Amino acid sequence: MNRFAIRCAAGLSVPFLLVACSSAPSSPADSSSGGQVTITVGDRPTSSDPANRAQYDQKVADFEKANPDIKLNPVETLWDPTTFQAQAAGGQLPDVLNVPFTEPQGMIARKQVADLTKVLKDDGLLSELNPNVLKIAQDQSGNVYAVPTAAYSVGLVYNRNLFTKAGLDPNKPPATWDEVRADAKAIAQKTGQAGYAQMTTNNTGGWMFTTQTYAFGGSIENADGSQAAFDDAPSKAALQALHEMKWVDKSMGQAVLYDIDGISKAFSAGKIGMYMSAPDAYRTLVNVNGLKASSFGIGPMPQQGGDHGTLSGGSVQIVSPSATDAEKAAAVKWIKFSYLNKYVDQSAAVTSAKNGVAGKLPVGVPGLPVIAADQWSTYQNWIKPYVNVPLDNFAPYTKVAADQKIIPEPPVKAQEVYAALDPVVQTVLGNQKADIPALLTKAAGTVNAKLGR
Amino acid sequence: MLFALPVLLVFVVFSWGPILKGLVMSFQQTNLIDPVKWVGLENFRYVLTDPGVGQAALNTVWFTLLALLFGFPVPVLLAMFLSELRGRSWLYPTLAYLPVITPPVVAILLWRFFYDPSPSGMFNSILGSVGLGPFLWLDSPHSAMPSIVLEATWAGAGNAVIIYLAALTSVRADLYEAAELDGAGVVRRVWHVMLPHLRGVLLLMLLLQVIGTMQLFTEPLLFTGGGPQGSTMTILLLIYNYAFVNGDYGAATALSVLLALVLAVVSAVFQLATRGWSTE
Amino acid sequence: MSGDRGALSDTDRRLTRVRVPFVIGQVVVLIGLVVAGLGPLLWLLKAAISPTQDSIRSPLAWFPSGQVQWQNLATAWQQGHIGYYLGNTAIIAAGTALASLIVCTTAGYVLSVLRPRWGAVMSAGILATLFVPHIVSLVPLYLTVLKVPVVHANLTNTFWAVWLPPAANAFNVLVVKRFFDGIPREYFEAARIDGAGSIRVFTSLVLPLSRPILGVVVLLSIISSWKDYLWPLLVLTNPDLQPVSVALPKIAKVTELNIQLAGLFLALLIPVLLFLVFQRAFLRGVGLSGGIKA
Repeated sequence: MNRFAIRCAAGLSVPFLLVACSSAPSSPADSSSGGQVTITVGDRPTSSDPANRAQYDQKVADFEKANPDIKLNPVETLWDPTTFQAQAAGGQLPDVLNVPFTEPQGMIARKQVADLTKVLKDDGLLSELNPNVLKIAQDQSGNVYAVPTAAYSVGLVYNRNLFTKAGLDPNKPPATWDEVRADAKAIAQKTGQAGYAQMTTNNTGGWMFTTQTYAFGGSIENADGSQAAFDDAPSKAALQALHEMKWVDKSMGQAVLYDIDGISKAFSAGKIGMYMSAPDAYRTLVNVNGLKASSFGIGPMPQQGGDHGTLSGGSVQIVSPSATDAEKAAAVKWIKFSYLNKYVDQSAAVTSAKNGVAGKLPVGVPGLPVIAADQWSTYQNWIKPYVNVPLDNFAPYTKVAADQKIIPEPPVKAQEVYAALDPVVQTVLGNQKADIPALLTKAAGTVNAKLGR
Repeated sequence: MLFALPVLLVFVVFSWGPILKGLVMSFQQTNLIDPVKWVGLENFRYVLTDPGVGQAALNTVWFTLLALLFGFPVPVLLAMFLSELRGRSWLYPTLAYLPVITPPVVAILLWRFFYDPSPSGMFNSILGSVGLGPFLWLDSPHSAMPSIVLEATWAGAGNAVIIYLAALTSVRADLYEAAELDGAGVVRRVWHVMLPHLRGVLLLMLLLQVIGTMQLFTEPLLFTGGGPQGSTMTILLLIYNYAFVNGDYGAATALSVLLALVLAVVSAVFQLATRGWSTE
Repeated sequence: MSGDRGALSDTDRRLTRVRVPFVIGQVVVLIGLVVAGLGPLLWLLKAAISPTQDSIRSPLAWFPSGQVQWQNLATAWQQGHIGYYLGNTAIIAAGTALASLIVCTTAGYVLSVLRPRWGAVMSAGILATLFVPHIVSLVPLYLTVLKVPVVHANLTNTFWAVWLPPAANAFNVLVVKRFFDGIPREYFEAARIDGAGSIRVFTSLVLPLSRPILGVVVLLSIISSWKDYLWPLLVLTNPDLQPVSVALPKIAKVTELNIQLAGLFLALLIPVLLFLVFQRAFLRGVGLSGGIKA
């Protein structure tokens, strides 16, 4: 009708067409051409981390050389709880992504991960993996949906410098929660810093409460995940211990709101004596936030009234549910190459350790074996010359952790359950008159409603 | 009529379409992967029985009230005062506007540091030097919401000040002179000339503020994650959690529809209540 | 229409009981505004070049450890890519403003000047969205952007996802329409008699006449896109496209506090400098927007 309007309309619709043509780089349809498979792989370090980025890119190049029929498309996508659902819904997930132990069960239930059972069996990898750790990536009928590549058990991280200042033995972290309380009190009185702190926000409150409940002999959900199981004595005792440290001993400082980042920064600044965390916190505390390596200490999870166990933690690799069989196979190859080869191949182990040292990354942080135990100790020997973390500071943890029982996350909707438990912990630490039994009963009602949906 | 094409396209795709889709989705259950299931009013039942929703609603209303109590009068008074100044007239508005320029995320990350509850925290050191505190700020369920309001007022006041100032410069001088001749003192001149002149703008800003504050999201997400004890969990943050953390889009849209109904009622009541008043 | 006097008259100003509190008030307000407006920026500058421990242990002290770390700023600039993310923010703001302009001018032209028979229906439809809060459509809008109806394009991780949805802004459309309503009809008659078609009338008559209102629309879109966090967080998951608001919290999580504060300082300094340069035009525009809203 008139030219301006036509031009205008064209101007608006052209971008749509362009986008339509160029969209969905990860869609399976256009990813294989001439027998070659292309997969997008996540977790490429950002350019603000140049050393790691270079190392990662080298690994990608090596992999492509070794597997000429597979092309990798590395992206910087990281797992982030606040945007993961959006990315999954939007088909924006890379074919391979690193996610923490807390996630696979929920993703399996929401069908956001590919079933890898067959590919792993064909590859032979299935039999090499540590079956105990593999459980967190399996559904009720034993199908495997993810590959664990690093595993830890939650322990108690402590500041050796503050321990010394408080007149405590830095080589003897507390073994029971009664001892945690006594040590926290000593630190608070002698140094003026918080003797003990605990994460409370963005679902970490429920997560750490779960760990603590396990250490007191309790559980969060019943076996099939249909009912809340924390409205009982162990959970009450766990919260009571927190309450007494906070309000009777006044050994937990003023701050209540901590997430991983917040507690790491406060701990590295020397404001916290002890908190629950896995040994992989070493990197965040020392390499990112500048804690002195000599101040870092970690012990096993303190237990109360028996030897109950602790929560596991770590990383698994997931594969996009839209991946074709060929892409799944390629993804598993990459996971093996990138994360697991070093455990079975001496030269890969040495290269990886050397690169770690060059990139100023911690090498040799103790953890749980993701592969069979004897192979694991062989690997430890291979990398021994390159270890750049003070292993003695990990000794209290390593001496006990191997035998400590590992209890997995609550089986159903763990994150929603954690979210419902955050306020419970926050109330105990924020309100001197908190009614612990009533809080737990109320939270159990909330959790049951979520589990029933 | 190709002139209508851009507006129609944009509104159909990004406004009318999503609104209708939201209504439809509130009666469905979907995780975007399995086929869609019609569940009738189940989403609404679930949302209304979630104890978190009641608390979030109360928190949201509480925030709105606090924001009105602090955030609304401060810029009005400031603008009235500034409008009386002569010379260097650019300095004050420019200073007042600087917080508005601050990207909200920068402001929040910075204030979160200022709100450090230990005695060596920024605000606690300042107040401690005159013998007050230490206060818990964001770490207590009682002061967390007021702390957020304080930051939000700081961040938003400048914008309102400029708008009121512009409105005040259009007050005709002869109105004041007439009032003065009638023997009206300064206070009465402010009350009878200045304020009535601002009435239209004030009412509009009031409505915008109520609607804006009811959609509070970024501050609680980055400041407190909804804590402590859920005291800063707002409706919008809850909707976000339902949808983008739990992947429960049905519950999220059901809660959105409920919030929209409330806001529509609020605007309608507001319009009715102020109709005669503002055109007086 | 002049502000050459306010509620206080010249005689009032000479009275001691008015002048003294007024001057005191002026000083208090000035100090308050300096602290509130410049304080954070100045403190950030100090903290940005301090070691982490100084800022945590005694945030108010003047370099207690005696160390000044200028290199923090360079590190934050290089590692945090603050400049790059600010560039993204600028691209997003500019695109949003342009999209809003195109939509609201053409819409205003249709509704106010061309006035087709279905104009009333469209007008009502646009007005209605003013009363439906933005949030209702957050989730469905997100799903729409994932898969735009009919063309089935996925707009996430393209700038279109942040440019187009804000253009569906009823407020802007109505404001522009109202402004066009104020243009005397005789102008259009005269132009028609001269043989100008609708396009000519639009480009050479309506647009030039409406420059002030277009400035306000541009300003409002830029400010709201500058402030937005949630929407770009959702639709721009690719770090290469994210604006500074989305990038900063992520940077904060993986950097030591001093570098993080240096990053915040840079992310604040540049917009503040830009604002100071365009301060006059900017504040006039904001003031005008209030007049229009009322």
